[in-house]
Amino acid sequence: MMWLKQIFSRRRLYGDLSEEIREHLEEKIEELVAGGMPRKEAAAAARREFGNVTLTEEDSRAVWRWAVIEDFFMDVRFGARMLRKNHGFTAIAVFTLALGIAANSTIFSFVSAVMFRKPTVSDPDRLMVVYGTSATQNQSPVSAPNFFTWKKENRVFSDVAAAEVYETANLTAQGEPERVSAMRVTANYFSILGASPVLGRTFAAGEDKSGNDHVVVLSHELWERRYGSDPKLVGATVRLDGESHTVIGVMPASFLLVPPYFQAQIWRPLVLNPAQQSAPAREKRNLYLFARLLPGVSTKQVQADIGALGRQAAEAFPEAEKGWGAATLTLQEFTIQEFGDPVIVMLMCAVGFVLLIACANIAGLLMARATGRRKEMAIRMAIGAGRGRMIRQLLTEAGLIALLGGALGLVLTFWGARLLQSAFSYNEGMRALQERVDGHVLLFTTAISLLAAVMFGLAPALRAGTTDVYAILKNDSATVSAGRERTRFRNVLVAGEIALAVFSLTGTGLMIKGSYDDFYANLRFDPQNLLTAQVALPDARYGNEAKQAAFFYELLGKLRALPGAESAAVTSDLPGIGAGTRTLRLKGQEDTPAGERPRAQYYAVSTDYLHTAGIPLIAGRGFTKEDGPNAPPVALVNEFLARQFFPKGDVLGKQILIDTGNANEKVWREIVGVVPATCKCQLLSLPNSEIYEPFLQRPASSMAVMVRAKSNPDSLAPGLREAVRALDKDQPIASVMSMQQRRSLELAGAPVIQTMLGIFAGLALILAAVGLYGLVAYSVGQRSQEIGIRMTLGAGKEDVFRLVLGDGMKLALIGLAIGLVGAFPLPRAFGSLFPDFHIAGGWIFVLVSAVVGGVVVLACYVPARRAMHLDPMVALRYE
Amino acid sequence: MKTREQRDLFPGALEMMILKTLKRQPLHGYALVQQIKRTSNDLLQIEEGSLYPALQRLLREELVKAEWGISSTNRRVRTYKLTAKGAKHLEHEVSRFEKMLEGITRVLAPGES
Repeated sequence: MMWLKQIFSRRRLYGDLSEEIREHLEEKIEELVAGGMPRKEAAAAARREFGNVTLTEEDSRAVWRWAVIEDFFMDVRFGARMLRKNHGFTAIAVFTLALGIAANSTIFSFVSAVMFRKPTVSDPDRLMVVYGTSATQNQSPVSAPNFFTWKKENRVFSDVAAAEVYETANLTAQGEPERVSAMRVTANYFSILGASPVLGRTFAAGEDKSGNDHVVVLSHELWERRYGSDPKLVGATVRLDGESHTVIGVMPASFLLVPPYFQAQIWRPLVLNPAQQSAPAREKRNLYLFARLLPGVSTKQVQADIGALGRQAAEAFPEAEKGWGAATLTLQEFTIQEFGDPVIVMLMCAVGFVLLIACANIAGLLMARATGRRKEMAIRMAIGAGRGRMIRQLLTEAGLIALLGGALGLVLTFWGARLLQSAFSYNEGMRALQERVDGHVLLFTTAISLLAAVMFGLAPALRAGTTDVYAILKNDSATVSAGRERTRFRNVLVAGEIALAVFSLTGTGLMIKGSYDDFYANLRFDPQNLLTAQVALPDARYGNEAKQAAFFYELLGKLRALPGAESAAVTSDLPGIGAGTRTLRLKGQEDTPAGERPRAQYYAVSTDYLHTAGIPLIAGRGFTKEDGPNAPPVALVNEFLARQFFPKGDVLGKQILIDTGNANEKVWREIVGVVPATCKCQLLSLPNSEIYEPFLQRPASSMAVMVRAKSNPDSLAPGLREAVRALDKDQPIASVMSMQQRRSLELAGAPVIQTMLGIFAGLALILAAVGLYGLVAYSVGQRSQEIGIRMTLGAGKEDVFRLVLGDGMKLALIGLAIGLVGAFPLPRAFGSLFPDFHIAGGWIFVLVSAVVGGVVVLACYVPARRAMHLDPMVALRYE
Repeated sequence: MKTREQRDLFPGALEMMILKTLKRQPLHGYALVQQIKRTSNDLLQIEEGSLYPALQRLLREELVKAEWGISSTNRRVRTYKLTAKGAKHLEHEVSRFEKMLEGITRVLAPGES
């Protein structure tokens, strides 16, 4: 650490040196004076003898300098001075870069929240999630029989809990009836997670037995919002699905699990009775298992053990289990896999393009400026600056811009992450993600800032390194128009920037088009003028199917009678937002193992459904009143399924069996009609196939209600509420809103992501336009002198204009051609990156070309006009 | 860079002479120059200033150490002293120099071979 000591003691060292030299000279002078020389002469002689004092001091100090570091600081000081001097340029470069960096870091804050944040459970690396896999499903829940078997037979876990996710319940009394997400968990769930309540207790052993199970634990959010953080709530009763439950505890606000479906507002005991261990129960896969690793067990061991248990189940119960396997991951890995979908990659690509454009802009600006600075460079090299030193100097300047841009970008990211957090708060689970600027985001920001510095700094710096001193000094002073070499360089620069802008804009445009198509276009039902709501009948009051069917039948009658209503229907799931899926079998097709059966989105719908939803019938018939519980079982399929399995078009009259989760029930249904696929929502990762059953043949307690209005659907909302209340005053009704609203709520991820993609595209466009304009305008401006001479010599305005514009367009065409050739394979590249995601759109190429061309024309026109109106004499003196 | 060639016969020569001189007795800068000039019979026309960068190099390598004090002529001076490391370095340099000198002398010697 000697050098460190030296750096700090240097001031003293230098002081010593100066004093020493002073004393030296004094001594000499005195000696000479003593020898009889006049003092003035003696002083001169002493100095002569000594040599150059300043140089000696400099040389002496140089001994102590740590050259690399100090040159660096000198570069930084000089760079900072240059940036301050050109504050306009600096501001533009820094702000451009900050925008690019902020976009990237904001999206990365989401990635970081998913990938790097440990779940809020104790010892998260040893908490495993056990799940099922099959050819069509990756992270599937498992069945209760498997839970019991695996809990008993595994040799790797200290304990295993089961949780039934996706459950909801009606919360009534004390305020408005409300639908809450209610997870059922075994009594050991919280102790396995290692999560303690802030208030009261969690479930005790035995509370997951029938009769003891009327106890609930509340989430902090629900407790705070609905019960005003009442500490006396513990011990009180709440009504859940019409039954009294005792509140025993409240979880802390920090207890938030991802993926979203692991988050609940209420937890209640999961009662698994022996009947659920029977063979038919094997097809009901609704449990995720949470398990704590035994000490000393490795990840490899646990994978092998669980994998083996899965295979044993498949061998022992081939009918239900063939094709299914078991796997396990830590909760964090499970989450990463769940989120590892194309959306994140897509967003990162989009922001990557923005950064690319930002870097290209700054590189362009730097290069353009470097052209102006060439004389300075040449002079500095002529008086002895080395090439390496020049390159280092320019790179340092780039680094400074990157540093400032990164810092400003980070500030913007704080804001962006908060924006993202509020945009992604459309449900409990997404809220649990908590995007913010953490260590990883900081690291990422630093990394991309440096990367950006290299990207926009390297080319100008290397170019400056090849400066031919003599040529430049001569060229610049001897000629009026730019030298040939300089012109060529400028042209390459402009064409290159145009090419890059075309490439990046096309990429971003294709992304947006693809995601927009996926969610909004391709809809084959009419989402306009539809009012929707959710009604879930509690089992306590509507225990059997007849009662359920009767309720909804009566409700539909009332709804149809509403003034302004055209028709009404109920369906198990609304179209266009992703329905629940079922596996199916087709008569005449090979019977495949349970795990490999085709899967389709499933709807149980009332008779008026197709009409109400606005789904056209392609072939056959829709459901009628005749398709009742005692009539022959029938089904509808969508075109996609029909084409896939009956390419000859003979689907009508074929038999289909829809797995219900009850293996005992095997009902073959006749396919009586074909409808179009309601949407191609591939980003939802759902199958394209859709199947329909008549509601009367499969009544259920929880249905979505749909009313088609003649005009504004919201005007029907009070009537809908009144109709439900008239039938049952305690019956809650949830999510009363138009289909459009419902879609944007359910697919909140989609509009948010589209909005973001839109913002990024806009950003890319603005940056590209500004950068391009600046560069072209600058290079035309550089020709002011030449234009002046041409006009002095008698060139008309049109001639000059034609010349400048012609040159500009030539470059634009070259740049466009290069950019388009580069962007041409993009649709295919995206296609292979996101296999489910269909990207096409030739018009985007056209649009981008037009926009870029327009910018170039404008950028040629304005400065050319200015140059033409300039007094030729002024132009000549310019520079 | 002309001055450097003038003041230094070959790299390290000045340093070697400083070390050798300091080995005899600790001296301050001015006395050191005078001493070297005197002992070399004014053969070495070195600029007095050129001593200081060399001294700084020796200080950095910890071959000499310096201390402020009062000289016999009652003047504030910085006295340089050879360190153990410096003595060893000097020995090494001198033997190296002697070998080199021997080689050069042989080449320059007339008539042999």
